[in-house]
Amino acid sequence: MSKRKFRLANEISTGSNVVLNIIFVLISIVCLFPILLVIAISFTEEKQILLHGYNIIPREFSIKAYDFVLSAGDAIMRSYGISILVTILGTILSMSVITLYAYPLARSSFRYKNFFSFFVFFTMIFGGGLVPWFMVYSQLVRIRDTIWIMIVPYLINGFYVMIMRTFIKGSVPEALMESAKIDGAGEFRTFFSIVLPLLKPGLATIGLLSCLGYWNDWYLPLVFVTKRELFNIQYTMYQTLSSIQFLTSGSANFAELGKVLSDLPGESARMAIAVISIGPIIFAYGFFQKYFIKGLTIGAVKG
Amino acid sequence: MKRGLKTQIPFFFMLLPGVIVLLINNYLPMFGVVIAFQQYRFKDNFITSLLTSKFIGFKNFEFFFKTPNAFTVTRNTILYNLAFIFLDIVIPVAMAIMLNELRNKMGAKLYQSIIFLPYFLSWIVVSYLAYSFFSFENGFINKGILGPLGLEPANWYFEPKYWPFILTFFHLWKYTGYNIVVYLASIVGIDGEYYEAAVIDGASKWQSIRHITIPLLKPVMIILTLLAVGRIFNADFGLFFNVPKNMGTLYPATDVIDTYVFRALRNSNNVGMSAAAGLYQAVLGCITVFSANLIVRKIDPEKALF
Amino acid sequence: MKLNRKLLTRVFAVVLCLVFVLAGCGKETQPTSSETPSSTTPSSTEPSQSATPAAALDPVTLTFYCVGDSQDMSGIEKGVNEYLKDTLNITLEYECFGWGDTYTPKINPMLAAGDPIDIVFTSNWAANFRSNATAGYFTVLNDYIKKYPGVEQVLGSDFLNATQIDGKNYAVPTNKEKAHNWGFLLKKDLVAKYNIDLNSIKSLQDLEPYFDRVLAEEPGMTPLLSVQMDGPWHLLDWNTFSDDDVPGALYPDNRDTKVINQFLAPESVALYKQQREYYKKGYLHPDAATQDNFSAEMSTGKYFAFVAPMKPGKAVEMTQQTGVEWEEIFITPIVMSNREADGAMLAIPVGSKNPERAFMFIEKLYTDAKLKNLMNFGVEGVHYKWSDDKNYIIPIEESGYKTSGGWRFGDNFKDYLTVGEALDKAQQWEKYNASATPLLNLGFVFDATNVASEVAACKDVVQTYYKQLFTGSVDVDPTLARMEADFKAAGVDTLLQEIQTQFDAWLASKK
Repeated sequence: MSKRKFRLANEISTGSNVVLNIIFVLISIVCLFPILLVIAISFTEEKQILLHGYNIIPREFSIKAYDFVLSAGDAIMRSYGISILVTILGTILSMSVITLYAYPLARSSFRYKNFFSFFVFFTMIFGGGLVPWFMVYSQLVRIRDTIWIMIVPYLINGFYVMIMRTFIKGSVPEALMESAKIDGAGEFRTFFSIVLPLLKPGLATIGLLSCLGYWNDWYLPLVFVTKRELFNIQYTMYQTLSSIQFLTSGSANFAELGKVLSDLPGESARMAIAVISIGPIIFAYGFFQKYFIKGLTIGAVKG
Repeated sequence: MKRGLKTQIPFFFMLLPGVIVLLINNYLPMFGVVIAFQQYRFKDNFITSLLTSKFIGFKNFEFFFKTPNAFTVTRNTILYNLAFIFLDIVIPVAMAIMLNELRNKMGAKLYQSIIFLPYFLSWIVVSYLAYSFFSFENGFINKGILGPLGLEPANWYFEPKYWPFILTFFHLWKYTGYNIVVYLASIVGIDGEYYEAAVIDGASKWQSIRHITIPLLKPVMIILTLLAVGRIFNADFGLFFNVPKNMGTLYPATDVIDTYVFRALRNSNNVGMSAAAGLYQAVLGCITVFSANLIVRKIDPEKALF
Repeated sequence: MKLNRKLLTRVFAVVLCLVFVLAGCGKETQPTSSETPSSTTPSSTEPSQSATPAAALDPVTLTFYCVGDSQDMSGIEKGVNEYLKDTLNITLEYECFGWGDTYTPKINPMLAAGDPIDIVFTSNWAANFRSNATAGYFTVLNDYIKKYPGVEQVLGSDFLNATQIDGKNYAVPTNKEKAHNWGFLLKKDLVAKYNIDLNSIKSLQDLEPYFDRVLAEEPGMTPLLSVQMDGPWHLLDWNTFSDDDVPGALYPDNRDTKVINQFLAPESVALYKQQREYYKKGYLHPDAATQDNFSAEMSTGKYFAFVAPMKPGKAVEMTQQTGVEWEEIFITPIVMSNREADGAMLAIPVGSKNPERAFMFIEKLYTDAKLKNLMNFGVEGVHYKWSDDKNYIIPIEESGYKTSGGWRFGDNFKDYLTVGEALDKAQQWEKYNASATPLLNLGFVFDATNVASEVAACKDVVQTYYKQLFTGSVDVDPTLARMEADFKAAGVDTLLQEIQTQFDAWLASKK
């Protein structure tokens, strides 16, 4: 990138640029510091943590925490695999379902758009409760203990649908879609050849959020999955962290509590767990990010 | 009429997959909401259980209102959510605009990624970090900041008054990166020609933002607000339960509906009572969002949710 | 990423396929049943015979869900299936789902929905035994207990029936300690340094002079460790009717049958005031109210004294666990209470398709040492090996398997010994159990159905105040006044009245 000696019209002044940069550096420190702290703790010797508390620079370096967490070796690899599979499959499918659903809602020529908007939005507020929901997947649509149970409940989501609808309305002028119709194109054709290319930032956004939603989820395996082979990485990690949470909450009172507690991971191992469960998803963020920053997609936006 | 309907059919096909999932995942279980009014006892199978369990009216709701804190937890939930709704618009929008204006694009990319990072930490882990800051004896704030400055250490976990600020800070810290993504995508989608035309007309940077960027972001802002308003009686459980370490001293400021219900029902498998709690939040949320949506409808029907 | 039509059409096709898959044929993974109870009944005149003649039993799958963190379940399952092939002929599906907040929310919906699970672990702190039993989620076991007497023989009728509700057994407790008491753990090196005569310590007051010495002579050391409810509160040893954080208790010395609110009793108030004095003097850690992990705190070695649940060999066990050396002193009298019985039990959910076979399996956990240790420690040679003197087993590190505790099911006393346990462990326990006084309400299970909201509200009041009061972190009188007011508003009187009524009725029926 060659340095420009002048600034483009409508760019901010150098002075403002410096000020903004400083603001962001400060904010970044506040956001980054805790992450670094977590990483540092995960590499600290457990005894040092008990005696001296947390320190941004480990008092005594140790990889024992990771040894401990990864000692389950195969199981960890497998749950990573499950997470990745569910995330990729889920993201692709949910983006399709959501975008397809949002398109009619964005078209003024669709007479029932308010009804269907309400139809999806209502589900964000109202639910039947845990047990009935559990029953549906247990007795009716029997996909418990399969990959699908971790994908289907999140395929469509009022939040994403509404945002996507707004993106469509904002990125694609109604006139453009109308003119396509006049030219004889059906709705599907319009959708695929005109709307989608213009929707890249919106797709990237929902894609990223959906991707994160699938990757981070431990709730579906908690409620539905009983087969160890299908546990994803978040659930595996959550099981440990939450167990510790429960055992130290005062709600557990049984005589062997102390022994159980001492067998569970200490602070450094818990932080190692946190680091591991973040894992690859950081790269997914990088993948989607290029669609959010203007200046890197100038060509692509106007397809 | 037939011809009119024919043009609508492709739309129905597009909606079909989503509708099927919604029916299975959301609408079918809704029949179970009757449990909230029953003393659920199991008999033979689920349907029979639903039909034969004793109807007890609103008794399942009592545990929520019998507590001396019913008002406090509801008030806390609403106030925190109002603050979050407001701040979750103002701050991410401002930051998204600023990020978009930065001249060093590499820097912008970097800042945005870093600001997103906190989203990946679970609240349980955050509570450990918070404890290392706020603990009375050895916490970083008392020992590392207030001490050297000669100030009195504060007993953070005993003073409710600090916590609205502390919790709001953590909420923003975790979710701003997430919200920025949504707004940035909208900003990227704004046609560059608008800005070029504004420059030709002699508008300043600030004016272009005020008259182009913000109005074009309004639809997204309104939608996100309405979505949040619908959940104004639901709180972010992870945040309110873990970060204050479940300290009773802080309940007046940190207890929300979700944490109260969780504690009350934690060691009892009372299906009716948990259904009742969920129903209570849902009904109130519905009423609120319907009213809000109606107001938005009156002003600009295009921007309403439905 | 070029969006082309082909890719999108393919995606769309996948979506349509998905719809059809969902609508029709999800994978069915529920265990199939091919057995009806009546076809495998051994004659009931054979007392302790629990194995039917080979080839008389159809193969059946049993699912068993338990608390714990275990790995390599398939290794155990294989071992068990092989071992039981000729007798019970089952295929075991055994899974452990962590503790508390990952186990209970998983099991509870399954129970409420009547899922066909065969055996579940339940207790007063996991899968809420009391509320699940009264809601009808567990099979009544009385007939099976009579038919397969092994369980009752090992447990003894008193202990077995301690968890009965209205004369019905909904679960069978683990055979482990049947009594409890509380005492002190003191840091061994300081005991030696101060020349403390352990027999002279009979109460917390007796330790006060040593607390002062610790404050004066040991920098950085806190005299008394108190975390949540694990502290001097336990020295009062209230005989509770429900969870620890629900009002309703009797005095532990069986003095009367009046149900009181233990949190407002004069002895408790005296304790709060004493703790407040201790906190001000510096005997307690300034962060005592926010600490939550007593095991980790003990491992730091920065505490002198801790109030702990006692048992034979406690000091040795704690030394192993924490890496710090401790001495033990028994303080409160040894009593037999409901807590021991409902701390670990196995139940058969009503949805089970093979309740009889499930019970036969459960019975074997009490009578068959080999099976019990298979389930607990794993397969010999794969997960553990014997020590040279054949007295202890040593876990094999590489197998990655770690037991979550043999106290969770069956007969705990049939477990093989691990390094550090006393060789005469069983005898020590017998002595301990035999010296216990049974409490008045042993065997009474409180049904909270009518007062569910009061229980929830009172629980909340306790949760709001107990940490500060138990650790002396706040002034007692104003807090106590607020707590009293909150209890009244939460309906504590209705709750106590309900407990008293049920208890009196139960007492009358026993006569």
